[in-house]
Amino acid sequence: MKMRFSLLALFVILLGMSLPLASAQEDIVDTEPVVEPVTDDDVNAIAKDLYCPVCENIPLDACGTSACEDWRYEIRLQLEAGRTEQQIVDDFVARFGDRVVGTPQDPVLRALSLVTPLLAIALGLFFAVRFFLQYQRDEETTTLATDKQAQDDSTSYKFLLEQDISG
Amino acid sequence: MLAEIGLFATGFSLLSALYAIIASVVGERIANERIVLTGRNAALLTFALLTTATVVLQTAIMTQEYQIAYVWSVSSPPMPTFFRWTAIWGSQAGSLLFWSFLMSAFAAASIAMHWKNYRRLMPYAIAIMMAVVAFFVAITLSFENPFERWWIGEDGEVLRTALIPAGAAAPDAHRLSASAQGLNPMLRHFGMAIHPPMLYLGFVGFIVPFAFGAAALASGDLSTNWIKASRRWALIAWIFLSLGLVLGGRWAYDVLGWGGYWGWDPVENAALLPWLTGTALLHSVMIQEKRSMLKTWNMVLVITTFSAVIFGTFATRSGLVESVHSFARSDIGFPMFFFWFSLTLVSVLLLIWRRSQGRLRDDHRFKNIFSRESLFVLNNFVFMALFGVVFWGSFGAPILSEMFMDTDITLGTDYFMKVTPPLFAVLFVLMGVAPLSAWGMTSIKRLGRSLVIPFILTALTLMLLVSLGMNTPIAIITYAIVLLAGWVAIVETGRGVMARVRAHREDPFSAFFALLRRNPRRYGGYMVHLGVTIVGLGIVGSTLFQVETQRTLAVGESLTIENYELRYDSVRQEIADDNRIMDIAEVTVFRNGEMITTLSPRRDFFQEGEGTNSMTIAGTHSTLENDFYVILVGWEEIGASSATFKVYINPLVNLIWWGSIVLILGTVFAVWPKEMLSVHVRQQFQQPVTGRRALAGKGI
Repeated sequence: MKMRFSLLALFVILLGMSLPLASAQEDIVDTEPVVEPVTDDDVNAIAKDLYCPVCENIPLDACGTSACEDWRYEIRLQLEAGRTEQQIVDDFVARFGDRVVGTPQDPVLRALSLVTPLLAIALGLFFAVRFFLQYQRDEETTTLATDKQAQDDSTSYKFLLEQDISG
Repeated sequence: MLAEIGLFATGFSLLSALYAIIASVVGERIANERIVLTGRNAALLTFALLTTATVVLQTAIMTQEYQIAYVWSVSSPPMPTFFRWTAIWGSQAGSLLFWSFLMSAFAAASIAMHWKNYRRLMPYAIAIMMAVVAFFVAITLSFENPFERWWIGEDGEVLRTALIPAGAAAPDAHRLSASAQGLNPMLRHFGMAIHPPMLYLGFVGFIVPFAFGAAALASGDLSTNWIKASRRWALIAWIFLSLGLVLGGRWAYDVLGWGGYWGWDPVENAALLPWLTGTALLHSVMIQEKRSMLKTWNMVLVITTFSAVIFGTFATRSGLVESVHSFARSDIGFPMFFFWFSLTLVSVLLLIWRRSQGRLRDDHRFKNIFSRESLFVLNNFVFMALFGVVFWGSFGAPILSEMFMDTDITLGTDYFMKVTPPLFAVLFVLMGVAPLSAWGMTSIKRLGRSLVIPFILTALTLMLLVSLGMNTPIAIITYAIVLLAGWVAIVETGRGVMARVRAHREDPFSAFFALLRRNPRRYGGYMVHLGVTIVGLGIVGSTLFQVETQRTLAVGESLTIENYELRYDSVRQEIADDNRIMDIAEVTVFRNGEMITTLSPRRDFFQEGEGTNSMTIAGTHSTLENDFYVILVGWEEIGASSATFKVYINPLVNLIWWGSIVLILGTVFAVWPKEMLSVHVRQQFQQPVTGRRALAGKGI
């Protein structure tokens, strides 16, 4: 009895779980996928991070030449074909080189570009702190030496005075 | 006739500059005062001759002498008179002559101001300034001569030469004027009337501090005399450079059509580099004046600043980097590089020589990390770090990767926005803390007590901003750092004002101006810091919270962005007086459903000579809160049925322009002389100048 009840419960649970799946299947079968149209904003979001291959240092979204208009249209076509932002950027780099992106795609160049100045700053800070601490140590050493010298002077002066008094 | 006058004036200015160099140095070395005086007078004559050449070129532009090739290339018959005034710096040759003229003007002014008071430095300072002027005049005459003219040779060939070739005749005047190219359309903006001369004044102004610094090294007068002689000039150069940078940003904002004001363009960065080291220098010289410290470092800064000026000029004019700013590639690249290298090398060698003699030893030491001099040094370190990262991104990495890895790279906005914000944040923190520390010794307890009121005010301001809806953590932190610096400047000024009000029973306004008169450096400096704070708030707001959208609209259709709505009403075409074709759109702007304004964004097309140039003028509704900024990207001509608009909302962007005004005013107060200029100049030339032997006899 217990066994039958358990089997029945299992059956009901399984039936209940399959219903949403079934309706989802129906949904999939019955409706077409919704494709968002590519907007100017979508194109500009990618073009903003690219540079005009011809007019150096001008972002692609701001460049007003007809060549740049064509390249922005190319971005639109690639987005409509389902390509991702990275794929589009890689395509531009492959065709025009690293100069079309704001930081190089090549890992070595990227590391060199970003790490070098930070490394230089860190080194500079290290030497500056070291110089400052050395500066202060020199000041202390100078003060100690001056004090010792003063003490030596006073000792020898005292000796001379005592000699004069006794003599 | 004009061309001949200009050409010979320029040529003779080179000769007089060369004579000034030789006479000043030789006369000083052999202690012959008369020869030194002739050198001084030759430097003044150089200024007079370059003024003549500049006036001649300007006259030629105004009177439309198109046979002069430079006039032909930068102007045309329909060009408005206003732009004829700005055309002199519209291209390489004219701007080089203008640059030389400004440099000679600074040299002449510094001679007039300091001839007697800094007599020991003057001959070397004159020699150095004239050497730089002579170089620029020489490359103007050799490579970019603005007085070359068009000729038709015997065999009908078109020639362009300074002197008339044998058998050649002048071309037909009508054909010349009809084919004249006109000013680059990008330069036809009110900003172009001011931006280049301000920038040039800033660049060339640093020749005076550099010349006096190098003169100190050459002459052996390594006291604070060179700083006293050149500090005001450094401030004046800094004002103009700051103005030039701000106006350049404003020009870019108005005509480049990308909704921004700073693109980290290499040529923009080339102007920023001397500004960074110049700002460090202005702070650092105070330490030498007050505490006789950092003598070597100040020399390093003044050499680096002027070296950056020359390097920036080289980079812009040689074609090393290309940008919307730079001039076309020219032959002056190699000579400029050689000059920059030589000037920097000689300066550094002089410095090393004097240092090895022990002549640049500091009189005091750093006692405490929280002392004002220590914090100023930290401030200098951050400025040099900024200099390093900007230089690396603009020139270092691109040039090295091209040379050694055969790869062209661009380090753009995303590189600069990664590396510079943390450094600017540290600078703002120091701007808040350093003014509260004392020279020599400051305890952290004392510093903390001084910061209490500014901290409270900063916290209250942040609470207000949060209550108005600002809830982005990065924005809160950034605003906190920027606001603290501003509140410190206000509180310290307020303390001074209240003390005067109590002591002298003055009203606050009178007390404030009395404080400015008594201590212009201190209170002018606070005003500069306040101006920088306001600019900082504008930059943070417009960078972190800018929103944009682009859509193609049919007539009558609207787009929505935030709580704004833009409706496209119509488009029309017009022809301006200078024959440019203007496509003008009319749009209406609504906010929260209510109409606030109508705007007319447009695109201008210039047909000059061969081809067409275009320019985009945004339509902008400006308030202190934000700019609603509209660009006409394009429109369909047939039926004018639709047009594409790009819309930006730039929060707080106008604080940048207003903050710059406060910054400039503060610097003007700081630099204002205490005695009348005419009295001072007269005093320099009243008594006979004593020679080097006489000065040596007095122990100078």
